[in-house]
Amino acid sequence: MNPEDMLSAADRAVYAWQLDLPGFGESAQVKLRRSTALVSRCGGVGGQIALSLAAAGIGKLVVAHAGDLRPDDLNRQTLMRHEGIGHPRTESLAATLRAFNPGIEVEAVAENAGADNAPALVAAADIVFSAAPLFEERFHLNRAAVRQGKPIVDCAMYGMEGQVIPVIPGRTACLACLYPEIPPHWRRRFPVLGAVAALTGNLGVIEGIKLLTGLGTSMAGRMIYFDAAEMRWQTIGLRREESCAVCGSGNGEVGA
Amino acid sequence: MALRIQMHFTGQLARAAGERERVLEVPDGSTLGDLILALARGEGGEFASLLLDAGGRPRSTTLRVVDGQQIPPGADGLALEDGAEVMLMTPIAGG
Ligand SMILES: [Zn+2]
Repeated sequence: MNPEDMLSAADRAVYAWQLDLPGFGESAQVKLRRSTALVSRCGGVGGQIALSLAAAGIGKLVVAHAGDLRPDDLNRQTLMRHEGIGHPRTESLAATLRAFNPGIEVEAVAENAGADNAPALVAAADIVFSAAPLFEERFHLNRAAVRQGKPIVDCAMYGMEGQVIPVIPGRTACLACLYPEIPPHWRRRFPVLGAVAALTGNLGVIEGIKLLTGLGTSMAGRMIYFDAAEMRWQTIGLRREESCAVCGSGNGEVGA
Repeated sequence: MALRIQMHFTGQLARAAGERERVLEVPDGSTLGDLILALARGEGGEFASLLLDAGGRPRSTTLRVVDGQQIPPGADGLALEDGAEVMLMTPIAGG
């Protein structure tokens, strides 16, 4: 057997309890090790995504997040450190992730996703986790991921509520199918309980690991929605919009 | 005859309504679009501005969910049935 297809003794030691998962096993662990995940923003949601992917043994994490750490980030951005205030967020989060799992590769990009860098960020990844606080960034990533046929897991929260939308381009509804334009009422500042952000991120990682390894049943084509205030959970069937400007006939691309 | 509709609101819409659930009665034959307009007119204020654009038309960005299935904004002509559960979700992007 090709050594690339096998786990090392060190891998088996770290992931032993995960390898016990029914329907998972060594082949799934190898798939994770061979995968690169892009995480857009490392806030309350994205930080948890990065940490849980690191724990699961993703091969490489590319984490994109601009700006310096602020005191009001610290109720939710658990990869940061208090002494990192005033320094780039990417420094704190890369140090935390590398210390937590030296067996994975971590690339921290001190940029947020935009029209110019989204295609290249997505091109380097096998799967995209989208967790920016602005729809503009989510739309750029959605467009780039759909164009490149890469699965995307859109994870969002507001107050006590969270939602996760796994997307398989060309097969299930993309973000633009649901929101044909930038929602005008969304504001950069939103209420956050850190635990709700982390819960949202972890739901996204569970769906991402399903897409990468075939574990369990993917919720692609559905939205997972929860309201933690009432502990109300549901999944909602989503419809792909044939005229979608990104994944449908509205994108102006022949054969799309 | 009236249709009894079980409403659910999420996100900013729930915040503007001050509640997450409500039972609403609409005339027989009402469509999903009629329901959104009736709700917005009844409530007014921020709630209405979340649901309707400047021209008073239902916004395309509100997620409409009827009995667990998302309904695209182009299908607001959907006839409602008595006892339907309708969820209106304002888009969220907290990260
Ligand atoms: Zn689409």
